Amino acid sequence: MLLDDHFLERFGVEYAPGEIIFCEYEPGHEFYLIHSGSVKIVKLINNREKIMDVMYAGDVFGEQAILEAEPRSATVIAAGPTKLLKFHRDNFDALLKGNPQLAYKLLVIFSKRIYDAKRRLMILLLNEPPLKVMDVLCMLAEQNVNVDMHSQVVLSVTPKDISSWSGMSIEETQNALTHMMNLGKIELYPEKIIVKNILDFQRQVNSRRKQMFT
Amino acid sequence: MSDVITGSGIRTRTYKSQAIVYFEGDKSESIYILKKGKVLLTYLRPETGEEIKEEVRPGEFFGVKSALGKYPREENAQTIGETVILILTPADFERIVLSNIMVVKKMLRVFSNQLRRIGRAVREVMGETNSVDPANELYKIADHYAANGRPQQALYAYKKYMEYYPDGKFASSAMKMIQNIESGNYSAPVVPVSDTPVSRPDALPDADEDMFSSSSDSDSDSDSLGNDFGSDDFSDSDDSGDMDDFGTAESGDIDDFEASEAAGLSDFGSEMDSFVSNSPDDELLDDFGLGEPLNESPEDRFSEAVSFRESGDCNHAIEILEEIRSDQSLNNPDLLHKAYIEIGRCKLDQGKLQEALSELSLFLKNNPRSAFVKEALFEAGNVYLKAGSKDKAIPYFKKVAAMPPRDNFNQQALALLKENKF
Repeated sequence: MLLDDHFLERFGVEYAPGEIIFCEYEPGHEFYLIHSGSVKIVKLINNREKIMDVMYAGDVFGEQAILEAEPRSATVIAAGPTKLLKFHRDNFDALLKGNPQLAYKLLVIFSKRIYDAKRRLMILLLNEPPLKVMDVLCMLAEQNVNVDMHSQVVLSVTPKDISSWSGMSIEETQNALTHMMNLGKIELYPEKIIVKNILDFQRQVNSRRKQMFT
Repeated sequence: MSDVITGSGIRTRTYKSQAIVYFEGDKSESIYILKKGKVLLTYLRPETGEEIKEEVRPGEFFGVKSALGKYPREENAQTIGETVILILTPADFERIVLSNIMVVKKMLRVFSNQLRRIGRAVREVMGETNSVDPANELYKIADHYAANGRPQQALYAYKKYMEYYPDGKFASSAMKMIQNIESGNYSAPVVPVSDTPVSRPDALPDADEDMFSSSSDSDSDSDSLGNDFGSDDFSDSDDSGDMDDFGTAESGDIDDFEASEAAGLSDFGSEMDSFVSNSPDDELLDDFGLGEPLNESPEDRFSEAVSFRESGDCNHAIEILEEIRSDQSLNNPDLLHKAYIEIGRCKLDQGKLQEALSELSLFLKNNPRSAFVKEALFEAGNVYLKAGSKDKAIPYFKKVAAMPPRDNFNQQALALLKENKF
């Protein structure tokens, strides 16, 4: 574990399943490290609660409050009995001094999040559904360091995942995927998609992206 | 190209002019520090397709985010003139940052600003409006949970609403709901049939079933919050060899920071020693801490300043804005104009009305055709309003209200005119 026991005594807080840790739009001054248990990150979108992510022991959330005074961007709810370490922004310096590894970890988290957000933005900016779907697949392939882009690529992803990444409805996503399957570009399974030539998808997306601004 | 390998694993490489350090799309874990010469980073801004060029200054890091996040490079890095670059592995980088916590703090701030900016762009594309009122949204969340048979969550949100907005427009209904729920008078409404029942995404943990039973839609939506959250790819290095220096790094203060920087670096073998001692000016040390230039674009610095002002730290905001304003290499008149107005706003927030007014009028005098004249006039009106001279504020707001194109400022000016009964 990252932190000593005395941190647990001083900063530990416990939550029962279903308890809200913080709510979207609430002002935030603390960030949290999960000691045990798990939390779900949710947002109300079109008056429906959507689960954006689930986090487990060792994960950090609420870290944007460390540096900026903006309202929370999502609601966090304990998914089971959960023990958290809760750090106030004012303790941040002291905390970093005692735990520089945590600081480094935060840098890594931010790096990943910036990339994910930027990549999502690029997908959303494409205006044709098939291209959005192709780009989601490219993104998933890029994220995996072990993927050989020159041969066929197996991605563990569901049409539902793709629909949320691309900001499209499930039906629209399904249509685009079926079309690609009929053309022999992909093999479609409930839990995975096999892309025959991911480099071809990349080329198509990139050339479209270049045209968008000319 | 020539490589010198030093004991710590940090390599020094000399590049000829116009050499490529890396291409966009490359996958690599190397992190770079520009030691001597010039490096240009080039990339396209996703929203506009516009080509952005950023110059790395000696002493600055580049390639940090893609190396740490393990994703492909997002820009081309090319040298201009003969250039010397230090190449670090993530482990080297980790050692440096672990012993220089101020470097981490600065980088985190820069990263956090970037994330906010991209988040805003994503919301715009998704069609969400930018100007939501947190109070109303918080109340809406409370209502949502109340209406969906989740009194516990509703209670939390109603209470938070009362805590932060005791005089808010929903305060009395929030109070009523709190009383109802706490006294057990709350009866869970029937969940509308149209809501599809629980479809639990596979990624979910073994959580209490009840938790999900009432949530109408549990799409596992891997959003910008990031789904790649595992800590497995984070090397939990226990290397505390450099920690001794750590004690010298006091929080917050830049002077101390420089001292600790030097102390920290001296541990990285002769190469890093010479890196510090060869630098004739203290500026180098300063720059070293500024993090990647890629992240410290003037636009980022500006939005950082705005965040500072909004969080009440106007002095800090002004410091950054004045830097932007005096940046000779800044080739962005719009940003320059925005910086002027933002300084005016800071002074206004600080209650330094005279200074605010002179900032704004200086701007208006020098830039009568700027696209930001309306904004400046609006703030000038605000200065007078705050000073209590409504008479002087009126003409400003009237002028703003009449200026095309119609936007937020026209509306706000009209509202203020109405509010003050003009």
